[in-house]
Amino acid sequence: MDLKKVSDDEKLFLCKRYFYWGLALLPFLWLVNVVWFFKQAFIRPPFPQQNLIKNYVIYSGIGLGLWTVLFVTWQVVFQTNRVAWGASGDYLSFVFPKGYA
Amino acid sequence: MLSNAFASVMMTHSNFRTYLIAICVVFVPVLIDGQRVADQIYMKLDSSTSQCFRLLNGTHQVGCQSKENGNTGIIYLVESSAELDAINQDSGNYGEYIVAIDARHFDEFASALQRMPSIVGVLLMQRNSEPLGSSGISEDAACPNERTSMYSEDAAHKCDWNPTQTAAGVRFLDWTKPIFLIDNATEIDIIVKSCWETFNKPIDGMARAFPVCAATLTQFMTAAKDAPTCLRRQEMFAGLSGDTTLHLCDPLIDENIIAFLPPTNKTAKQMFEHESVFVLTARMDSFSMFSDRTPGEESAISGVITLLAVANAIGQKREQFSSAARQRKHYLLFALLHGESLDYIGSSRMLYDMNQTKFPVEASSSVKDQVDQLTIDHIGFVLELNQIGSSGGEHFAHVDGTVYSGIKREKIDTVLKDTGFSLADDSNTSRLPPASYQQFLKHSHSIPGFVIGDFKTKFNNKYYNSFADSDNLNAAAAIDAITKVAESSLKAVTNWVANESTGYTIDRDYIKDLYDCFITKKFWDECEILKRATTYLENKAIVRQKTTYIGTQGSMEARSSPIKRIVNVLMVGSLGEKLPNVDTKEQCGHLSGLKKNNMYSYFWQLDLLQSDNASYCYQSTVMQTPAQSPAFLIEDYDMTSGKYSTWVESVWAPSVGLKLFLRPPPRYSLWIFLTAMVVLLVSMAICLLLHRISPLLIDAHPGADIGDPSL
Repeated sequence: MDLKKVSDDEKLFLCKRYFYWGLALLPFLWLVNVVWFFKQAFIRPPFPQQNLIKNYVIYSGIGLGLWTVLFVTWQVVFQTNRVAWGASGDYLSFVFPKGYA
Repeated sequence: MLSNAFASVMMTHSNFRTYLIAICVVFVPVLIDGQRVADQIYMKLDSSTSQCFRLLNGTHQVGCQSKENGNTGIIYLVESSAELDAINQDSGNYGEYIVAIDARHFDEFASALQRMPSIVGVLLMQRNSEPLGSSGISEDAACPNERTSMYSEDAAHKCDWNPTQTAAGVRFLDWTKPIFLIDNATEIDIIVKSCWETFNKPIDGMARAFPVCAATLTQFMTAAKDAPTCLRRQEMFAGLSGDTTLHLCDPLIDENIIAFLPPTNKTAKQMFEHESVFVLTARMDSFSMFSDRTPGEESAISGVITLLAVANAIGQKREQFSSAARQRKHYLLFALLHGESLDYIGSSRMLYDMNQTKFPVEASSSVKDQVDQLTIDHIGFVLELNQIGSSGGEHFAHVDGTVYSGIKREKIDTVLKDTGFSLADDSNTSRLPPASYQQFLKHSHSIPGFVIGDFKTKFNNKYYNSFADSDNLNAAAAIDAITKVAESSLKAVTNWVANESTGYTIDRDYIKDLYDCFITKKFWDECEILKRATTYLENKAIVRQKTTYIGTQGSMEARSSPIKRIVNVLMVGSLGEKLPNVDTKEQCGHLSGLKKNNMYSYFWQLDLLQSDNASYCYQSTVMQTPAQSPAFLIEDYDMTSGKYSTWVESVWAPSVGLKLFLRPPPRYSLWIFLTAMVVLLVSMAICLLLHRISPLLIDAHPGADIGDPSL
């Protein structure tokens, strides 16, 4: 979809929809929101819907930041502790290394 | 002008064919020399190498591991700690090392080799012609089987039966690097002379410049961390990894050989009574970190031969013995146990089965004449034959101090007097050496008994449970020792069970033959008796190898432990009777299938002491009972508890190998890379040039020259 061909109302509608659907534990929607509408929200000269779009982009950005922290923390914790967790570590894994713990 | 030159070189249709043929003729001689580049670089040494493999138990992994593509390092010969210092300094900037070390020095430097991270592999060289020196080498711990010993709770008393320089036991270190054992003299010379002295040995204290001789050792083990982990992963990840079964590790499993004399018969009301059974036991197995290097001559075979001699003597007078025993309502149990060196696999399972009243077999409603189940309170005495053959001649009886200072003292003394041995330690703090008898006492702390061994406070055997436990005994002295112990044990057994000791004699020639067969000869089927014994055994290539290791194939008869299969045949030959009317192998097999009774087993074999070819169906009370640790049977058994053996063996990847090559200076890689970049740029330039002048090369009017014979 090319944003150039879409009306500003439609843009606001999309941005809002992506934000709300992202609340259903879908952080990638928020990532899309931030990347796609960044230019619209902050770079483009003001237009009527820009304030609301800006808000949604900011909220998506905050949510994205929280999810990133969450993912990174979990990755670090899992990678460093998987071996020490023994059986639980294996139950959380899909693949395991052969020959090494 | 340039374009005209190119035009003249342009290939027409017929010229092209000529050029193609010319090219092939020029290059064919080169192509026919089909030696792979890899073969020109690497020299493979694989004629007799043996590799260290990984075992795992409830809490640890022990043994070796290499990277999947092998561990590579510069070969360095170590003979003293000076070389280890040189490796630490790494003045030649070699990076990683593969240490070549003579087996004589291995025990001394084992801990250092295991600790140093710059050493990524070990080549152990054993020249068969040289003795291993007075220091010896044992792969077992200073206190063997400490985890499952009956004294494991009592940390105060020091346990150091086994003289080894590595207290934890070389086999029980987690090496995380491959160790290869080489005993082929040619290959050892290649490593020491062609590789080390020519390229790697420092000259005047200065490290040699590149090129240096390097090696790659490949031996990849798939299991890791500990036994519960690999067993769990085998179950959990099967299916996800593509195959329906995932094979990472196998529990150690085989069978014990037992025989009751006389047999019990519930139907005839011939049953065990309280303390009516005399157990004569010996251990069949040994181990080593190297696959197929477990001769166990003094560790295990010496005791086995002794027990076989006693069985043979009693078997000669089987009827007399049986009727005398029946009058007294006493029984004799021969027990040759497997897996004892790895935390008492055989004996712990035997006692577990006894507690479940499943020993030797479960009671069955469909069998008419069936054996009685043996439980621990039926046992009246345990006599164990530990290491017997070391020169020195004197043998000692070992008792547990608590049992000996209790009410059973008299019973022990009576049997002791019959054997004529003296106690190693008669105080109330006396401890048993690592022995199966310990497992009996763990279950019932009042069974009288003792362990006979050729040592008093420390093993005489400097090669206890190791790859080098062979060719160390003096044949004449060992045979004398075995005969003496066999005679003493025979007297003790016959007095206790049958209340008579005359009329039974140890056949010294039988002991000599067995010693020759098991110990002197290089393979187990080179002498008459064992050649006859292995006649009907399947898979003879495996049976002839001198392996006493329990292994993992117990459930598949044709691949199960060689020592067990041979001992089975020998026991049947000694204790069995030939059935007169059974003339073929099939009829004999049919008898075991009938299951009219479970007192007897039926085996088709040659008469071991004759030289004819006649085979007979032997009916005997010799049976095989499972030697698999109860840890794998009990549901939700806590593998970290140390109560039973939890040893499993890792599966290893098929590509195993040792190869030598010359490593060029590291700068070469840089030069090769730069050359490649230059070639790449030049090729790109040529391609660009060709692209630019392509109109000259390719005819703009196709079809103009084709078929024109003048061009």
